[in-house]
Amino acid sequence: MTFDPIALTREPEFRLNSAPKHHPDDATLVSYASGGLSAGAQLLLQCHLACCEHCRERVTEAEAIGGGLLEHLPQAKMNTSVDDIFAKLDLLDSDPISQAEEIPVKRPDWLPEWAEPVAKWLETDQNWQRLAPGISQIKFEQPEFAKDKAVRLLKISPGTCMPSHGHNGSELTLILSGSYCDETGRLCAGDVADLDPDIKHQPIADRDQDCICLIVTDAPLKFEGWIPKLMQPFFGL
Amino acid sequence: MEKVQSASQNWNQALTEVGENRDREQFAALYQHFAPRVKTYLLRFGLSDAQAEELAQEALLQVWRKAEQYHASKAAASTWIFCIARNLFIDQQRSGRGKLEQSTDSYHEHEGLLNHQEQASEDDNSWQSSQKHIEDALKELPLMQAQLVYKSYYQGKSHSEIAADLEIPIGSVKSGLRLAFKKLRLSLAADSFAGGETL
Repeated sequence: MTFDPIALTREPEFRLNSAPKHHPDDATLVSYASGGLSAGAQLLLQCHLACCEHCRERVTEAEAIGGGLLEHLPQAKMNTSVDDIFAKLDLLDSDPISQAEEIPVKRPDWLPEWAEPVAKWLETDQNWQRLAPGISQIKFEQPEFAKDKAVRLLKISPGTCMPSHGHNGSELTLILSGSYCDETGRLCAGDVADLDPDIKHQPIADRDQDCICLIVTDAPLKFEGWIPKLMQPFFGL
Repeated sequence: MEKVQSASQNWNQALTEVGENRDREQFAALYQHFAPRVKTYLLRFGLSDAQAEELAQEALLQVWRKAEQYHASKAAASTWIFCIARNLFIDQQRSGRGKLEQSTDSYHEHEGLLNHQEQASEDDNSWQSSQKHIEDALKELPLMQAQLVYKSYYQGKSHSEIAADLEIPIGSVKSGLRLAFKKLRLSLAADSFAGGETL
């Protein structure tokens, strides 16, 4: 399976009823633009950017820095002459791009339109796997995500309280539907929580509907207290 | 400042003409200017000379094929070509075609190269003046922040990889990058890379 490449130009895509209020860290947007994000984090950012104009502008700026840096680089010796390239252009022009037909993927009802890129990583008939009362997950285990510690969808029933946890590495959370509250505020569909390793938080899903999030971690979460610690291997978080 | 505008705009114009008229003369100019730089960019990621050459060619062929999608009002030509090269690098890395050597060299090891380049490109003064702002902004960054920018843009490393490389906490990588971005953005605002001014 192939990843959608990072768009070359960013068009306005989806407008949410209320624009996202929680954004990825600028450092994360810079890494997206510079090509440094893991596959899972890139997927998550792609969805957020589809619905967040604020971050699209930031990424465009970070890419412009990349363009400036490219111009600033010394020149390596090219062994291919312009004539060689023209010969290749002739070949290309006589052979129009064969567009690999993407098989349309069915998007499940709970997945918003702007998060479409997530759909192709769902196996057909993939079911939510129950982790604990009120918490279930779908884990993406494709080899494409080998560099991520974990890429998962988490479904949290209304009112469920997650164990309080910190992180060894970084954790990116994108709310796909529903909402939750934690120490940083209330996060709704389209919002991203981009937590530094030293931040501990305890998300509680709001009472009106399931909260579904895409969570990408690059190191195991650290749970506090003995019960969550016992659950850790089981969670696989 | 006049000159700054024109150098960058010339490339934007050249790329626009490739898109609209399949202008081969303009493409040849773009190739000669950008291919050697794209190759250097790819070499920094640890690709072999042959791989970097092949991907740099592929990048420029994509420039030819996709030029119709380019809009000078949205991005500078250098930015657009950077994005194409970056996407090719990401693909290469994920597909596992050709093992990449993890490069662990650092910003100051290349600083000499950058300075050297200033003398080497007298034949090509136009682009140089247009890069003045970003160059100055980069040099004005504290060494650690320049290092973070370098590892992000020229080595494609993630925050945790950079943290491991430099033996500093991830939180420091993020805050350093954040500060560097803030300063570089300001220099861009005074510059023409962001595009937009051309139409």
